[in-house]
Amino acid sequence: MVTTQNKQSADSQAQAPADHGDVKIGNAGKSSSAKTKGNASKAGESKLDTEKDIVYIGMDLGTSRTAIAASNGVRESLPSLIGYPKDVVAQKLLARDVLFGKDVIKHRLSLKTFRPLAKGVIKGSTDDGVDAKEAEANMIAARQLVKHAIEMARAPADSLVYCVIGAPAEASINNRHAILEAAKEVIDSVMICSEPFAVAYGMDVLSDALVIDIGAGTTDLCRMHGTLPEDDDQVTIDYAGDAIDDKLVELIKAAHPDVSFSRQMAIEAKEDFATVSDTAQPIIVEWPVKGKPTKIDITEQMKEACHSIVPHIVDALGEIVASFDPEFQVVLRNNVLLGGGGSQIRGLADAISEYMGEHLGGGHVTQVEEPVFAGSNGALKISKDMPTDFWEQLS
Amino acid sequence: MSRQLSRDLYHLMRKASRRTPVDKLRRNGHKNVSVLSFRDVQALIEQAVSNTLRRKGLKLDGPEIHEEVRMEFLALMRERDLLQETVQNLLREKDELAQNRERLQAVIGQVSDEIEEEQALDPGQDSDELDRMRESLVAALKDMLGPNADAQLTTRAVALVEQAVEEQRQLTLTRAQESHQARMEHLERRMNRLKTKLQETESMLQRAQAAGGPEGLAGEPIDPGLKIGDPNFETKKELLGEIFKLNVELREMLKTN
Ligand SMILES: Nc1ncnc2c1ncn2[C@@H]1O[C@H](COP(=O)(O)OP(=O)(O)OP(=O)(O)O)[C@@H](O)[C@H]1O
Ligand SMILES: [Mg+2]
Repeated sequence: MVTTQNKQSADSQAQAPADHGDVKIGNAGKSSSAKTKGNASKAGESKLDTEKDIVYIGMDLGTSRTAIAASNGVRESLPSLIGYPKDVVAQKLLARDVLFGKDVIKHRLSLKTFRPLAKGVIKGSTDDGVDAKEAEANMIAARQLVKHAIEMARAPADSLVYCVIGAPAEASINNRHAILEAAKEVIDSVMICSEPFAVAYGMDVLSDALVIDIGAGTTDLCRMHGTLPEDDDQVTIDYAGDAIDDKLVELIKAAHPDVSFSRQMAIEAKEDFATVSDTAQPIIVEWPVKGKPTKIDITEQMKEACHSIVPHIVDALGEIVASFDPEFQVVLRNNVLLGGGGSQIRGLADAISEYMGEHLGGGHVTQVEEPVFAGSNGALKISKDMPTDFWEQLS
Repeated sequence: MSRQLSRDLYHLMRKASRRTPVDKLRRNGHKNVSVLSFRDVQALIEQAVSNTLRRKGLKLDGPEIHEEVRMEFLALMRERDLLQETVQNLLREKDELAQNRERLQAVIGQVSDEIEEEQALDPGQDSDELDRMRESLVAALKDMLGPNADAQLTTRAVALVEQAVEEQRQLTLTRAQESHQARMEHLERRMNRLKTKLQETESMLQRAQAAGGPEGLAGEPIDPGLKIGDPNFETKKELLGEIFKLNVELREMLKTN
């Protein structure tokens, strides 16, 4: 946390080197000296030498969460949030110029916060009614977020960093530009690919499958048929994690009018206990009633709120399946992959399968193994499978 | 805060920190190092505690709390005192903190048992004794007045005794309730303190786990590129080529813009 180096009395300002007030010292990410050394390992040198120097990173850049998986074994995720101290006092107190992820939630009162990736793309990089100044600020925030995420991989300073970033399949050219711009400062070579494609690639499911990605703002459904997905392979619905939060807050308020709780508290409860199954143990939270912490049973509200997404998903599934050749419809329906942070609801895959049975005449949904890292794991796999000379051409 | 406490904290923090020669940092290409003053660390701790208390809906903020927090922090720092400077020591720190967390969880369990026990206690339970006292007082009184005493007088005397005993009962009950209340409050405060400490320990543990060596993690060397043996070799090769092409186009558009 702190290293003091100069001998001073306790009450004087003993200064200490620290990395953003964090445990480790120094910047373990890319340093500017890295590129010269890394680039030296080209064609003429032995293959092994080249391999040693490269760290591959897969990144899933989401509206609410950004996750990375790296070839050195590091896997990290953080809320896609960035914050700057509101004023000098806050800056002094926080002792940092910029905060990321969870720290932003913790200190949100003293920060000006940005969620730079609205709807999975950088806010302001498209015609979304954001004014120029705001757009510029979002752009800077996005760049810092990407940079921070890369640094979390803790690649040695003298290695090359190659990164595949998963972006929403519907991201426009402008959006992709924006992401590239953000990344190229800190990465030796970077490629963008569609997010649902990365999930599918990671799981070796490249054709006759449907990928569902439940995020915060949107649920994306994407059809895989052996090519890179295009616009008409995608359906996006607005019912996702945020909508479940709304529903949960509404239901708890109705059932327990005396309890005072914030939306953030409800989200935390959801992330701890989300379930649609009947067999679950009672869900008890300890929230204040008239200022006194009190145990409250929110099992029924949780189940109902979590289940509320099922009909929306099945509707959209029906739509996308129907657009496929009839002979493939059954195969497709039975090969549905469920991922994304919002899919971590106990029993959700079965609940969707069941509802499909009732409304679409059958279907089978499989939950991906690691919902949070499915996208970044897939992007990592793509980056490792990508021929080295492709990487070099883009660096 | 007392100067002594302040100094202890400072020295412990100094001891607990990892030292890196400036030359080494320079060799690693660092031009600037971030610096966090001891005072700011204290301010941050206080802020963290205040925020936590507020978030938990507990209106407990104030100078005593801050002093207590410093003491707690001091205790934590003392535990950390054993920890050293290298990655190896970070690992030890991790174990230490994990154990610490376990200990804290155990104590929290005990305290919550105590709270339950205390809650189950009935503060009015020693009124039996008063009943016995009243009976023996009445008997003694009747004895004293003898069998020929004025019946009215006896009744009044007995009534007086009973009233006195009743008052005593009320008093004892109030006292018992008060001390029950006080014990409950004490236990709850202790619980809150332990929970704060646990939270702090957990975040330190997380940090210890997150901290790698300053050199970064190289990982196993891997053999990049798609393997011919891959069951979807052809499809994947095509798809990877397509991704590459799209990215080249994207780059070109970036240049022309
Ligand atoms: N354990 C959990 N159970 C249920 N929901 C969860 C859990 N953890 C996170 N979530 C929810 O997942 C959502 C975020 O999912 P994810 O991280 O995949 O979003 P994203 O990819 O950033 O968003 P988008 O896809 O909209 O860009 C949030 O609504 C969050 O509350
Ligand atoms: Mg996502």
